[in-house]
Amino acid sequence: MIGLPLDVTFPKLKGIRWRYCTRWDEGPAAVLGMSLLRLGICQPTDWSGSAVDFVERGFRRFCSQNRALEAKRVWVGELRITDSLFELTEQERNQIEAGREGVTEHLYLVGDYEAAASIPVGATLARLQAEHALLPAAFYQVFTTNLYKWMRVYDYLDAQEHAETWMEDLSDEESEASVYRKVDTEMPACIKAHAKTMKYRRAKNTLQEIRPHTGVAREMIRHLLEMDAHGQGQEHAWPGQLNEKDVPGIDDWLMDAENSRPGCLITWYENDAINACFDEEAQHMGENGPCQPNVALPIHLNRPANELDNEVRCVFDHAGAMLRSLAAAAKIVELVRDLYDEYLREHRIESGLPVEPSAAGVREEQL
Amino acid sequence: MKRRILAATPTCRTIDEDAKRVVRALEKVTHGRANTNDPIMEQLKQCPEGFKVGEILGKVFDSLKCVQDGGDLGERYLPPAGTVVPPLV
Repeated sequence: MIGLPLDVTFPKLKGIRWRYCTRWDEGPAAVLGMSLLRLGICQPTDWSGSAVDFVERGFRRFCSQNRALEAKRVWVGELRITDSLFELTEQERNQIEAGREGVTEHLYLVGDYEAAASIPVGATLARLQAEHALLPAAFYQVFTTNLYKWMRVYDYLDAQEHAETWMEDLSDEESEASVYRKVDTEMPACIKAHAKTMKYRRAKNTLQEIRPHTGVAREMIRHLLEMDAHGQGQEHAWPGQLNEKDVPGIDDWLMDAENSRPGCLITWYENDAINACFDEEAQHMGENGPCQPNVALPIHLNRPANELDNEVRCVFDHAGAMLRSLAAAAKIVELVRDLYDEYLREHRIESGLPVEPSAAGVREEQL
Repeated sequence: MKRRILAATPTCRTIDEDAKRVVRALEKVTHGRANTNDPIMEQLKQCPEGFKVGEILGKVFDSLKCVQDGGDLGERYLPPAGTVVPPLV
């Protein structure tokens, strides 16, 4: 069916950009943009008439060159350049900007995660143990050490802390029956036996020395050593490391803010005791104040050009290392999830349909 | 070999000039002198009807909202004849 022609005109405006920003955004972006141009991160062809667009195009290309797309397959979050660490309403922002003389003197690279990536490592550890008794603990140590450079990791240590807090108020009987007790009992022996002795350096040496027989274990270790190489020389840029000089008012804000949201949840198996503790904690995250971002690095725009360039280079080196490291980590997580799926297929007890134990249950289901 | 060197020279010069042009534009922005040659403003000056777009679209969406709020489905899903609609991406 063909409708009647409508007298509607669609004008074509050539060369316009799709976003317009206030001068408050454009000014700081222009200072950063000049530095990025000097460093070769932005190119003259990125210029569309907007400084914010200019920086964004360079930043996007930089992220793409550092394997952001591979990282995004697993990690749900964002890496952004912003002029404020605090979440502000439009009204609050307008008030601050109206009261400020000139443009802001700081920008920040901020990294945060919208969701914690689920990493059930139980099946992987069992597979690695078949290769070598020390391999599971070495894998776990190097993997979590490297993840900690870029995010808060929620694993059995967090679950133990949560469990201890809540068990204080329980009677012995309640405590025995609670899920908190299982945090310790469910811990794989291959981790428990070496948790205190397998430090990072020893773990890395172990990974480099052992030659696994299976392809999947070899691949896992290769990606892990690659992840480790990308993170060399980098340390976690927690917001807590910022001082009043970097961010006026940061001390008060940190006092009121909650811990960062975890970027990943490392369990032995899905829905285990660690998962239960995480679910309990996650329900209340952000209730008593804003959560700190996982990564925050300042850029001082008021510095001389050469100092600014050095700082911007360091910040972008950190961002690049983070993205490349997380891209390698994403490959590890995908392998871990594949092994977990394989484990589920092999150990499936129940069919895909929920089954009630009594005949009445089945009848109700049929009705 | 000479040809290669000669061919490379103007390209380098162009890149350098482009970079200088962008730096000049960015410096203008830092001094608050931007937007004087904003491309969209230039084009809107040449096409003043475009300024009506926001107002007309607002009315279109208002009428759509009324329909969604419980009114009858009618012809108001379409913009009125003669409406100038900007390209939406």
